[in-house]
Amino acid sequence: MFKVGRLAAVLSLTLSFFAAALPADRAPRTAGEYELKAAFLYNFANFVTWPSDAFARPDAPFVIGVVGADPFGPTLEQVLNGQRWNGRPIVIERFSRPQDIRAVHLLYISESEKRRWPEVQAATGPASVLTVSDMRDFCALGGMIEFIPEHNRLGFNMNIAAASRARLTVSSKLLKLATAVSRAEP
Amino acid sequence: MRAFRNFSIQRKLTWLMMVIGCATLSLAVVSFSVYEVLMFQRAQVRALSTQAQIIAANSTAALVFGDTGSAAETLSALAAEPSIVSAAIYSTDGKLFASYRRKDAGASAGSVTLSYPVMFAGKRIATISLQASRAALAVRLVSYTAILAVIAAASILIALALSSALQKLISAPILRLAHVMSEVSAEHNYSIPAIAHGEDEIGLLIGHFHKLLAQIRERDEALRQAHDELEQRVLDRTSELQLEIAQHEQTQAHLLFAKKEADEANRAKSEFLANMSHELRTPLNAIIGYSEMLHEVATDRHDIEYIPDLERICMAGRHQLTLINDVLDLAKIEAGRMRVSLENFAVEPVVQEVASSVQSLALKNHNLLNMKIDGPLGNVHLDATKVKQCLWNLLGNACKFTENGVVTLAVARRKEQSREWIVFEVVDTGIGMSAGQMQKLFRAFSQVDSSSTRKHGGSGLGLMISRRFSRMMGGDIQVYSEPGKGSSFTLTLPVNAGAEESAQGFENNQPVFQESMAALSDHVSKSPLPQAI
Repeated sequence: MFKVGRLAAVLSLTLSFFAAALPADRAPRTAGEYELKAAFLYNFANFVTWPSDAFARPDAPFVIGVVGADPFGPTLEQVLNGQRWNGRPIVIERFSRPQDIRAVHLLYISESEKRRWPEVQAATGPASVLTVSDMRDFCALGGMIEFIPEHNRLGFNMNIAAASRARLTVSSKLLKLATAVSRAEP
Repeated sequence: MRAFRNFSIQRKLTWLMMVIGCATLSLAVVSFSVYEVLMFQRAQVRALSTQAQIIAANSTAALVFGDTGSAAETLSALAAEPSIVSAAIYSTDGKLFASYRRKDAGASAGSVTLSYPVMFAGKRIATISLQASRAALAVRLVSYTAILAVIAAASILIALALSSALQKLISAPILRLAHVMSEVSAEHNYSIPAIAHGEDEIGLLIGHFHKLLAQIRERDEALRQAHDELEQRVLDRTSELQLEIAQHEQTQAHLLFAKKEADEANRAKSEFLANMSHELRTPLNAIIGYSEMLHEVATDRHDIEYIPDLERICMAGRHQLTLINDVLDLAKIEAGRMRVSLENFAVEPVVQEVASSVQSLALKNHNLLNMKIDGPLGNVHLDATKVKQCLWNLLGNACKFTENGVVTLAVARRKEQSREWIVFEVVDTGIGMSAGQMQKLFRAFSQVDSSSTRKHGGSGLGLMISRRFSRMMGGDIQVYSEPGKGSSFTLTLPVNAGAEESAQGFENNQPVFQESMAALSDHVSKSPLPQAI
């Protein structure tokens, strides 16, 4: 119950957070910023469809990975604890370097790894991995979802071409919410 | 309903069908309308929930990513649906996330609100509330009502036309039957040709009607036969009666003839008697007159030896004269020619006169004649001659049938039955009579026995004539007697004859003078010594 309540609280926080109408430059600096981003990670996963070969077994877990300096801290576990993705348990993995990256479904790339982005791309290879980052121009660099602070809310850009290349299907609902969608190849 | 009862059957049937048609139509319209309203509401709810479902699906992402603009945009798509007045999305803690309100929405006739949950990852994350106007329903109902009114009017017209046409199926045979019936009763023609019809109830009715007509014809025939028979019987009986009447008339004619003959004979007899009375008396008067004359001559010459014979001749003549007078009187009474001539006279002198004339008769049989006059007798209005004759007859009889006895004449006025009467009672101590003898007493030519005629003389007509006379004056004579003891004759006469009542009431009464009957008994029981008057 606590876990359910936690997500609900986060979702509710999502709403109240923006309802508070905080200044645009101040919003990402608040304490709840990464709590919200953790919830967004989960929400993104719910509007994206992975190919069936992405999971080795029917009961294989949904793996969320964080590479580089972890900005979430314990928040990610707190928000996602006990949650399931389409009936699958959610596992969180942390990698300090791109070389350490193993099989994941969703990968958050810390700003610390900006210079090593091509290495990360090489590590994931052709696997179906949804890549998310706070890095500026992440989408232009071939990333899939880029968090962008907006005046009273947390927005995001999307690179649909990169997602298609990784054989990921993104829901139009999500695309509709994206601030900018890039369809061209980089 | 009273008015409906007097409708013709055609109108009734038309009305009936119309009423049924309208009732079913109304029922159909009402049920259809109700169904329509219900269906409309259900459809609206279904449409609303579909809309809500779509909105929910389309706003899930906006909700989870907190994109109110996107949610509002999704809601604004509802503008395509004119019935939706407003829409809103509320978070689970009740805060408004996004809303929509139709611009041209005015206050209209009610609305329906539907709430729908927004689910994400198996959890309820928000609630969508949709409010739809019911104005469309009202508009729809108005147009429905208009259509239904037109349909109802058309249906009623068609029903009217159909029922007017169809009611003839039922009413026409009934009217035809009624027409035939009225013709039958008006023209008394019971042999009309049969009316053809099917085998329904009206056919049954017509069948019974024909049966009824057949029965009436049979009855008519029977009546006619009975009538003919009756006429024949009347004729027969009439001729019988005529025959009988003829016979009766014949008999009557015979009887009339016989009566005429009898009347003729009676008249001839009466005429003969009337004529004879003079012829009979004339020679007797000569005989009596000459025998008296000869008796005087013989007495003067002292021719003793002829005197008894002459006396006998004189006596016989007088007796003969009395007989003839009696017979003539009776004949006069029988012929209805006897008349009473009423006059006022004093009673007592008449009584004395009769008593003195009877004295010699009393003495002849050594009887004592006793007179009793009770109070002043006064005057009466009667026939003096006939009163005298009655008294003379009664006293004469008493003296004749009594020897060595007493003959009493008692006279008194009595008031009885609101009239005044004069009563004469003659009592003797003579031989008396039995009840059977008394019954024969007043018949013509009857004495107690034939032997007494020879012994006592007399015609035997005296008592009868006396009774007739007394009755002619409105009185009567009664008798009371015991054999060997004596007799009592009572002559009762009204003081004023001519008044209507008669003395018949006195008949069979006890003797008027009880004291005289006591005296009679005294005379019988005591010695018959003569007493002075």
